Amino acid sequence: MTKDKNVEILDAIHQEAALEAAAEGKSTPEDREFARGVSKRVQARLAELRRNLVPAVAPVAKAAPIRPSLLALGRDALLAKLDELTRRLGSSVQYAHRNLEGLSDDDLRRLIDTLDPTD
Amino acid sequence: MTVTFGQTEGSGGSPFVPSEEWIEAFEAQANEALYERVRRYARVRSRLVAYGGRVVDDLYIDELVQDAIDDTFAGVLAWDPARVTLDRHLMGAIHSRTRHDYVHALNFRKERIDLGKRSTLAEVETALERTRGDPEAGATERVLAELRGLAVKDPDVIEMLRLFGEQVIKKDEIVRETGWNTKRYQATRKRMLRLVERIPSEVRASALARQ
Repeated sequence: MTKDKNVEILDAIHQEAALEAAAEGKSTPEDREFARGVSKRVQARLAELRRNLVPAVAPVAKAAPIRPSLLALGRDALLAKLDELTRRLGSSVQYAHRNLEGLSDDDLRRLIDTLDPTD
Repeated sequence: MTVTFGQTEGSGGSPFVPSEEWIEAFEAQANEALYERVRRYARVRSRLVAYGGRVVDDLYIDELVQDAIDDTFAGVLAWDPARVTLDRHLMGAIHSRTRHDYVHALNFRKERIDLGKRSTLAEVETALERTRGDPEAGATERVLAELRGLAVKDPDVIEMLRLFGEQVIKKDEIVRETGWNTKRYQATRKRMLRLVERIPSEVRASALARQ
């Protein structure tokens, strides 16, 4: 038998023995300790890979300055203007805020500016 | 068992970026029990490398497993979850690596003759020829001689070893070649593995020590 064949035989024997050990063998304390360490490292790596899938945070758009004409209006005037705008523009106007009490004066000014930038 | 080297996802040259599905498949299969299985596998495979003449220890075994995992994350070892389970993929990587390390160690040992003590070309050639021709020169031969001695009354095991030498290794191939049924194949495989365990530890130890 040639040496090359002997190499093949010993390789194949160790392959079968290794598969048997994997399927039926018993772990040593060293195996268990190693597995715990690997598990922690892999979890961290998977978390990193997952984070990399999320797109980078979009840059925050800086708000344009509020027009001086709107800055001059108080809250009551702003609410009246918004009401007037809503009536004038009709069904083409939709905004998410049902309760305007939750919006600040500047929020109202920006909302009005969004609805009618030319006003 | 074969392992593909390369990248399954992304384009050539770019860093491997696994998909969400790939990460989920890895996460679903990876657990401590799997790592224990793979390390048990690596421990037995490392003995082969030792028969090649390389010193192996627990660090080498750990390195085999860790490198297989790291190379999979890096995309150097391509893992396709739809084709193969994670543990089989990692074992395949360790199989390829240990086979390579074993053959490399064998070749290195052949070249490790002390040429310094030989002053003429003729002496060097004689030394090389002696090494090539000596059937007892390597651990591989010594261990196999012992195994064949143990299996002498078991023609099926002898036949299985012969087929291994012909690179007929997989169950389907052996069954086709021999005409055995699955039960006979399994029984022969079990007996062969038991015989491997019966190789006296002093033979294994001396085989390794004489490298």
